Amino acid sequence: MGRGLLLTLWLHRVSAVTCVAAVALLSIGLIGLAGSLRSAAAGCTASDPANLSDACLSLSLVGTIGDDAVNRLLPIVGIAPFLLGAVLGAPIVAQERERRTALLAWSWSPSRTRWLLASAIPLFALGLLLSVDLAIVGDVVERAHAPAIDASRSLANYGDRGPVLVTRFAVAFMVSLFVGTLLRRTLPALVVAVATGTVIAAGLAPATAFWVAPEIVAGPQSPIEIYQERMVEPVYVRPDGTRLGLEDGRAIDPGFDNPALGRLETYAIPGSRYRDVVFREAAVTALLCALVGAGVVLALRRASP
Amino acid sequence: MSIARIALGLARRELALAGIGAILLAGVAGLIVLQAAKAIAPCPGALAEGDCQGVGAPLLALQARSGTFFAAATAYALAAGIMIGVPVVASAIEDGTAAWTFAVAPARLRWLSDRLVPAAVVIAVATAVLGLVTDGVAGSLDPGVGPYSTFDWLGQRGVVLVGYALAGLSIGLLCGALFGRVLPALLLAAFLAGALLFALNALTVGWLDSSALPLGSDAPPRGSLLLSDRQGMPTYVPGSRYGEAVLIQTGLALAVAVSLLSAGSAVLVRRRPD
Repeated sequence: MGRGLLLTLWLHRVSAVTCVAAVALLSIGLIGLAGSLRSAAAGCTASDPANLSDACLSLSLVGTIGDDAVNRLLPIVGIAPFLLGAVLGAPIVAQERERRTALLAWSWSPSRTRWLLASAIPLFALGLLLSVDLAIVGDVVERAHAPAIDASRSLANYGDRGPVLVTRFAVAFMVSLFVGTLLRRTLPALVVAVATGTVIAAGLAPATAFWVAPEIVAGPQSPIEIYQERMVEPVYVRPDGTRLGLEDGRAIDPGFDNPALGRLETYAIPGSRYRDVVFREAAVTALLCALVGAGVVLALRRASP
Repeated sequence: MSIARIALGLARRELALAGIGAILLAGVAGLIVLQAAKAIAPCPGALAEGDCQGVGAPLLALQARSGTFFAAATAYALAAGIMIGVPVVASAIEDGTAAWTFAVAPARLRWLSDRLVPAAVVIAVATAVLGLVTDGVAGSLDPGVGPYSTFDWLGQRGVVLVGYALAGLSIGLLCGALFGRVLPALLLAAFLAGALLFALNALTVGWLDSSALPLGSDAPPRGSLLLSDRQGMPTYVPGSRYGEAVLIQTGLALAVAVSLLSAGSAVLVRRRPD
């Protein structure tokens, strides 16, 4: 089993080494960022309250520090699982068929499904490890960015940190494996896998608002509360009870005090529901992985070597 | 003609993917133009400086959402070039057909031009059309200014997309010739293309910054590029200089394309076919 694992990793060494190197560089950079944010925050504690820098002012008013750097770098962590999934998953079957070694490989193995499992599991495990690393690093950066806020009770930067990165890698890997099984060439498979991963990422970003029901926001909120929660688009509730979207309402009247539009209700998902959102997304992505996995096995059985 | 057909046939999967991508982008462009037309419908005719009641907010929201379309167009141009360029040499070496192919061809450079030129022409034409489409979309999103007098989405529309596609093609060719394997060549080419995009934008903005005008108390003219000098004071570049910026970016991209194409050709001539 060990030899089989090493053989698989050797056959896909280019993908494996590229992914490990990329994640290592990203992790080192982000841990350095987290360290500098912590130092800056510690410096703010010792500063004269009457003479605070912009960064310390942001920390005292909103509870965050280093917004520019974090907003530039953390989204890279958010898209990394999709790229990992594409680079690790797409070539597994596509490369065998392109190099015309599939006939030999599949005929030597007891079954194509056994061959697939032997080829895919080591790379999937590698990708999971790298995703776990990214999940931890993302959380470390978020905790340094917002030191006074409990990251496990905050939806800020939800898709760029934490366990959700691991589940998203799993989906991206399975979809890329499926794409690679359908297409006979590595290059088109990679391109389609990256494009599909981009579409999935774009779809999952707003989906956060659907995993749990948003709650109405009653009364003014502090900047920290606003930072922790996930805002959902407000709606106008007309006097007759019908609802109007914000854009439609503003197209009628850009002001906010037109009686015909009714009252503006703001909704948000509180940060305390972070774990619920993560578990529900994980359940849906696990189901998606199972379905796509079944599709991969069926497509592989029907594929000609 | 038959050589061109063979070359296009060898690249049919990549060209088919590029075609599908172009169709999808064209569809999205059409949707954006329709939505923009619907947003400004309450104000027939060109929008004045003080626009109509209720038009500003939906149009601004559409402009914000359209950033993804322009980014996708830029990524498409680079990806299409890389997709065509990488397999030209890398596939031949990886398949084991390079030794025979190089021996049969009159010269390796002749073989390269026969393989590369037809697909490159197709990609150049496709991205030129995409450039016109993206300029049209930009014009529909800001009808009061026009696409050639605003810095909105600089480097993500227009003729510069052709430069990106050809640069991507050259990068892919060089990486494919160096590695002789599709996958590592593709990964390196993708990284280099991203670095090129970043460098071109930085150089262009730096060039414009060197002659930016100080911004007084008045609002900058519409379509201007807002910058700041070393003292942090706001400066701006008027939209009338957009053409200059596009020429600079396209020229730099083409210069990169030509240099990397020469380098790739040099590697191919000296490379062992296995």
